Amino acid sequence: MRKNGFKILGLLFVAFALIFTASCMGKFAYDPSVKTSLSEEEARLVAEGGSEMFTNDDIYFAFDSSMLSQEAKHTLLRKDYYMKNNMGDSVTVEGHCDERGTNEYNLALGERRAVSAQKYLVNLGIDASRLETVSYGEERPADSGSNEAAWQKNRRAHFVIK
Amino acid sequence: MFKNRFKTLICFTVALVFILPDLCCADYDYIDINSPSMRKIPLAIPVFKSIASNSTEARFSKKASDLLAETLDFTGYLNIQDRKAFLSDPQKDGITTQSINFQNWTVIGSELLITGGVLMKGGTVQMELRLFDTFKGTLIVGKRYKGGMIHQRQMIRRFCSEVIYHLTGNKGFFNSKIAFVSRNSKRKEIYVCDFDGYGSKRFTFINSISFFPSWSSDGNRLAYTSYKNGKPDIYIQSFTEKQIYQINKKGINMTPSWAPNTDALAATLSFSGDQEIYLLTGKGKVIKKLTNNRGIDISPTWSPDGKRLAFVSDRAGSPQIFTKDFRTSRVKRLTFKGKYNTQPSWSPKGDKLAYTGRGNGNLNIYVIGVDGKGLAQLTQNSGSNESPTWSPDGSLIAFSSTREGPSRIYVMTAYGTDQRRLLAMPGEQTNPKWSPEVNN
Amino acid sequence: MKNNGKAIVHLPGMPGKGPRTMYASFTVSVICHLLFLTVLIFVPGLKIPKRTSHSVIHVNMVARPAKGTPAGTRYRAVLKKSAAKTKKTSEGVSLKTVSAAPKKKAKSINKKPVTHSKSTIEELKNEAEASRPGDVTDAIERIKNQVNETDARRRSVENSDKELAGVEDGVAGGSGTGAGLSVDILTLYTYEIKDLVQQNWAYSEQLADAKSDLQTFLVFEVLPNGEIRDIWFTEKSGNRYLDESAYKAVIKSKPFPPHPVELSRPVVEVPLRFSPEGLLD
Repeated sequence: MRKNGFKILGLLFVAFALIFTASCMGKFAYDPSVKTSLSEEEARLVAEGGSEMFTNDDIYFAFDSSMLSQEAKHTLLRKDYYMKNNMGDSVTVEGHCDERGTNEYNLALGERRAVSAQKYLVNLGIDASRLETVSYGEERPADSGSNEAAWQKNRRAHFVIK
Repeated sequence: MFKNRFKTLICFTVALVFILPDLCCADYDYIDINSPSMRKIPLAIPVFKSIASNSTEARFSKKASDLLAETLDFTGYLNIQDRKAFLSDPQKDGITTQSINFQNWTVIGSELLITGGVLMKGGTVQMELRLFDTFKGTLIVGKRYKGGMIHQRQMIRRFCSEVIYHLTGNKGFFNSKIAFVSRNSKRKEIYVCDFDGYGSKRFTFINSISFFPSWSSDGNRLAYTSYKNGKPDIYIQSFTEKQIYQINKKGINMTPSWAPNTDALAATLSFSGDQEIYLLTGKGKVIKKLTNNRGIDISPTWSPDGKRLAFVSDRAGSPQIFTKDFRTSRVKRLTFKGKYNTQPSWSPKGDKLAYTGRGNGNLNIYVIGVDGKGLAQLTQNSGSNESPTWSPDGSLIAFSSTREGPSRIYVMTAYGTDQRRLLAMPGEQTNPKWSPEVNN
Repeated sequence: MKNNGKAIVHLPGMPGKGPRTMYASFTVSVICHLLFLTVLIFVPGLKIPKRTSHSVIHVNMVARPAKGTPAGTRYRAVLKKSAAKTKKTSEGVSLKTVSAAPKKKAKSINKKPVTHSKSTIEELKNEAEASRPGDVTDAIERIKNQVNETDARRRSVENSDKELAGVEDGVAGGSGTGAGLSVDILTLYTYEIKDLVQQNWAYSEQLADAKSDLQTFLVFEVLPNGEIRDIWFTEKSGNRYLDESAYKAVIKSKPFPPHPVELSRPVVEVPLRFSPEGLLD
């Protein structure tokens, strides 16, 4: 009876340990779907697009989230490429939110969005001193509409060359 | 034998059935009345008596009595009775205890009566105002005021404070103000108006985004967040002195909240790379960190005794309201219903918090007990309702709402009744903050 | 409830343990349960209707002149005058007055009574306009306002809606099984009085500055002519404001309608328990 109890406890412990390590692994594991560099074709486009393309190319977020999607990460590769080829440029990353939340929380969330984009670029090798962040919360929407399409456009990190 | 026992049993049971309830409820079978029909106390305010009875004086009397009625109506717990129902006219019958036939008032349901007399002499106005308990036929409070005609509002408000003080034992809110944010195109400026929306004045002239005002306990200063220098920083500005203090650390500096009765405030700063709430001096120096958690920690609000702090954190995966008790340093989650609860505001009595919650896509005002019990939704089906703030006596809540299109400031009772717009001005108004009640 | 009943029955049956006793206990238990239930059906008038609305009770007691809200006093006075002047319809007027006033509360329950009460108001308006047009329109205006105010209380009324059905059933069942008719009339009369008092009860939690779990108990005696003979508190809440507000509610409601003719009693005692707990519904 008691032995069984210990067994079950042991099993539970092992199971939890496994789940825990697995969930931690996820964060560091190599994800083959995320490319670490641009294709030649895309690199050429970025170079041609110059600063105009750089500033018009926002990254987007899910509601109440500052996690970078695959697509966002790919967009950040283009930012990375541009910044490595325009070493003189310093950039401000603006974090924005849609209008649905409350102002205060959105201001905080906007900062987290800007910071997660900034950190990703730093991890790709951009010097942190070239990247500043500012949050505008819901104060500067890209689209002033009150519908899902507008909200989607507004949940963004926007890049401005100083 | 069987029959006998049967009979005894029946008698016994019947007796018990009839006696037991009686034993429980003393002598009477009380009928319950557990919900009053009126939550407002009927108050009669006849037009004030014009003592010299000339036309300017009579006009002034009418205006002053209307203003008194309007101001007391604002409390949300007095029912100002229609003058058409009145059976007596104090203009003829007199305004003092001896000359009032209180039956004339009780019979139309008045529980309270305010009479006034106005005498104008030269440029000065003398006003005497009396509050009566009609059922006891006694004077509750009487006051005489002297001033110029322009002091009408002041005199009336001062008497309103007396009335509320004598009825409730607290000072009311007739000397309080409301700070709010008004947006015109892309600019947001902070404004201040009286508790009833009267006399709004612009407070900031920054031509940028300025919001999240917070009153110091003495009502002399406002702390707020502004993009004056291109990013959100905190500014501490006095109504009387020119000196402005800044908190402009790296990252965001936002949602200042003045600690009760001390020259210190809590605010969210992110210079460490993470948003945390800090305690700061009234001049903007960091004293210490109050929260410690990776993630969003914002919108602090103090308990009236200053021993606890409520704030918004996303540590549970979604924005929820937490409280921290400084005596035990324990942090407790307060809200569990819904996935988006922000903008907490601690009630002046200390027993409740109002906050903004999101459900079915809309923001609404909720109230919850400090113990997490007694959750009540105060607004519904009326656009987006945000930023609740308590009147200093805890009887009213001001908030912003988009129920009529552009965002405006509204007021309701702490139970959600009597919702009405506070002011009408161009642009959009948000972020109301009620000041403490200051004696003047 | 059920357990209590069983316990009572089993106690005397304990000494003898034969199957016969068992059988007896069982029968007795069944009978007692039945008895208990029947009693429950009789008594409900006294216990169930925690939040009765007057509409149902009032409909049965239509012959009483309406009182109630503060404005009602004058309203009634006006109507009496107008009724006296237009004598041929005087009875009709007083009847309709009753249904007009109480039914305002029914507005939120369903739509029928509203149209009815409105049309009654219309009729009254027409009839009374000749004598005192200003006052009547005022009164009507006030009643209309009250109707609007009632909206705010919609929720509590809707709650009581369900209970109302129960009351109706209980009353019907009671008289069906041959309970004394006068008991029903007494109950209905006291409930009518309770409704009038409730309508006049103004209580503000702001003024009481207290929690809503307070209660105060008072009793008053109503003479056959509807006057109050005596009021006394059997238990005070300790909160002076609540006690006074309850007292005022009774005083404001007097005089009450006279006793129904069928009720031959020198005095009717009305014991009331006031508790503001419903405020936070």
